[in-house]
Amino acid sequence: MYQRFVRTSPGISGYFLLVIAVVLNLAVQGLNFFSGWNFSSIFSGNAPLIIVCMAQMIAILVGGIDLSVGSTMCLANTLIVMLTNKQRWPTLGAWLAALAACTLVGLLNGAIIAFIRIPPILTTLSTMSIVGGLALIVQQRPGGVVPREVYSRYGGFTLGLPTTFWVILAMILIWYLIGRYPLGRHLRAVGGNERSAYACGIRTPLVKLSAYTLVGFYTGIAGICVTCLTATGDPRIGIPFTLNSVAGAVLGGTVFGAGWGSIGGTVAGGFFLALVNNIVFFAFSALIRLFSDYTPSPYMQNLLSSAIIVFALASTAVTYKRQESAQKRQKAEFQEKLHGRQG
Amino acid sequence: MLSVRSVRKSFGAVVALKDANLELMPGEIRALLGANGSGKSTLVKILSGLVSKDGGQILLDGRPLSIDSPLDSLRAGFATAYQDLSLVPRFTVAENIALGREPRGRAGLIERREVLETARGILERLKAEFSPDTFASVLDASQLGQVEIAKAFAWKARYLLLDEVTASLHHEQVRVLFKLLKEMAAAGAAILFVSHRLDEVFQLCDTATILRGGQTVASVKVSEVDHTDLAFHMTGKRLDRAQVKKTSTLSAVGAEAVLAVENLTVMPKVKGVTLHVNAGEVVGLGGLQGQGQSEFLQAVYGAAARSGGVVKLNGREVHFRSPAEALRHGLGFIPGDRDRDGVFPVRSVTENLYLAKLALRPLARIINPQELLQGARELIQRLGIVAGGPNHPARSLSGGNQQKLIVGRWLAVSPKVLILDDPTKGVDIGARLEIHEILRRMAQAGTSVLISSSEVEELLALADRIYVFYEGRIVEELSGDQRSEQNLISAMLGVNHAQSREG
Repeated sequence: MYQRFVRTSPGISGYFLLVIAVVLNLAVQGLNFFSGWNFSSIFSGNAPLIIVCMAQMIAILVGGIDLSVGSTMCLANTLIVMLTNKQRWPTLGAWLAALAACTLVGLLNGAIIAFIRIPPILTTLSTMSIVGGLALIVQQRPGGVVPREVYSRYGGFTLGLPTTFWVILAMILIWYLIGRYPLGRHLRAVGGNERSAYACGIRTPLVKLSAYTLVGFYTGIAGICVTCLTATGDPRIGIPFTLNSVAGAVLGGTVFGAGWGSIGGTVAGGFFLALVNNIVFFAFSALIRLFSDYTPSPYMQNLLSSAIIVFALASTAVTYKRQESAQKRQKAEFQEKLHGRQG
Repeated sequence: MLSVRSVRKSFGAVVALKDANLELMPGEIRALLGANGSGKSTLVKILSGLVSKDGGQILLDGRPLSIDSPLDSLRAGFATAYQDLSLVPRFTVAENIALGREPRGRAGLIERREVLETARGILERLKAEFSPDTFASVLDASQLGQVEIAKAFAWKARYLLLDEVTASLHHEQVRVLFKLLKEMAAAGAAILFVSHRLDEVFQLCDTATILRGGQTVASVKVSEVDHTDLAFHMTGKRLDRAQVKKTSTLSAVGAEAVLAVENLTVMPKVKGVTLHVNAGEVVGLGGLQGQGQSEFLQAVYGAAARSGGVVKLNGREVHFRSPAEALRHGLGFIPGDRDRDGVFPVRSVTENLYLAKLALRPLARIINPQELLQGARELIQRLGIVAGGPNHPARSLSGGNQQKLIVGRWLAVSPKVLILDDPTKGVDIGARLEIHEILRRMAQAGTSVLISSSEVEELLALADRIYVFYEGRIVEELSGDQRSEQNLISAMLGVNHAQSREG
């Protein structure tokens, strides 16, 4: 039963990496890792990343990619700040407007990809620029405020657990629910083998349209989170998230062109990315304590983080290959049984 | 009742169907037969919605039906099992079977239990030896075939279109399938069974429609005809059984064999092929399309991996891991799909011509453009290539001339063995004859030629010896007087070959 899980779960590489990250984190940070304060900051600090990784996972599952997620988060952020600060909208109204805008971006991406048939990478590269430009139109310079009630609620606790824990959980449950509907299956089918999906009577353009619209929705939520986190507006806030979202999804076991991936794995992959920075920070702190005249530059930290991530990405290929050979061995067992019975 | 009337379909300049007619009644099992290029796959794709027709009518119970997508076809009551499968590898068998018709329960959620139960039920009836929660990627070709069939069955459609579904099935699986199909027909389903295995047609079908050259040439009751009648309809040539001479053994490999292949296997398409080519000989590989010829040639040339067997070049065993390696050993390869594997459309005629020769040189050596241009001009003249100039892009040439470019590429290299995979498919008759002439001259100059073709006339005109492929094996070797239309066609259709599939 456990063997079957390892062999067949798409998220296995994500879970595996997360365990390693937690262990390493414990090694450098000590038991402080488990303190409520630390946990809470890990969740609230990284909720935007986790959620945008989920968005990217959806795009990859349907056979594409979405390079515009970072810019879309910028748009959400600047819209919320502009509407609440300049137009005096209530927070909730601003959030809904931003969410609608991001979902519309996703719809636009989906429409171009599905009906005009421009490849996803080109389409989203273009919308990345367009939406990034829109964000700059809304707000040219960093600035603006987010009400204290909002950002302290975001960074604090609700019902005994970090608020953002519930947000992430909700996003996981939404995806889980979608998976129980035909759309969830059809989405993966289109990503796994579009021709087969089409031959089964699936309306592939509609599936793609729905998928990218969902990506927009999830990205919108991530944009709201990053606004609460930074408590200010910045038209360039989302830029590092684009590539990180791909990294997180891939680390979590999402495979391009196969319709293979799990939300649990993606969340784990996202947390792995989040913890890597934490690990590197504490590792260098320990080094400073050990060698008191050692002053590392931030570039060294960056280098180490990136090296760890590259290593981890390479390891997903190993996990994938392992799963394939495990499946091939299962295939061989089938053949033995078949021939054995007839022999 | 399904009625197909005068359906036409062209893909650009190629006419796939000019006048296809078919009638199918509930309770009937009808075979759809036709040789290469007959249009039978196009007709199935039109009925299943993957391809739209250019003209003609499809009537269902007297009312005209318009099928613009697979969804339309499914809604009209057709379920198709495709030859090249319509499965998603990373889904389980049950998920694949349910794809497109997921059963919905409370609040529209998918009923997972029903998905499994339906799959289990059909798999049991098919006597499949795997469980519904197996991933499709671990199954072999015959099991995948069963899943594809199960998927079509699950639709419980009034019309079942089965496109070469028995191609990868074992004997026992076919037996079970036929029993089920007969039960389904008795219960009122109408079945269209596309196959090239005439024996199966006689076992299973009530009636048969034969296509040739894009037209329906005959519609018969299976009980009133025999193999030779069907072969006649399929090829237009009357097969006289008395004239069919069968060879029982293949000719032995002699000392002059430049290329000797023993028991080459490429699972699942090539099942142990043994043949040889002597110096200066033109050896033809005949057979219907898709019998393993392409896969065989690619394995010899190193473009594909082999599962077993031995290849010897001039007596020494070789195992090419890449075409580049084969090239260095003196092999040349002209692929089947010219547009995809051969010509570089944007590059110039000269570059296309000299590609292979340049590949033999070290990367760092400087090329003299004048030398190339001069050589290109000579080749263009020698081969009679019609091109605007040696620097024109290759795509400005007609199809036939593009193919001559590829032949010219290899002429420039003077390989010891030249392998061609159906090189004149879609090439006009004039260019085709010229290519034949070029090949003959190359053979006379010492190159051994191994050419696969689905055209009877081409093989008879060109080849010194012909090996005929059927279902991944050589079923016949024709040399000398035996190279007759009769023998070749009967071998291609497997008429004289007692089918013993692995079971």
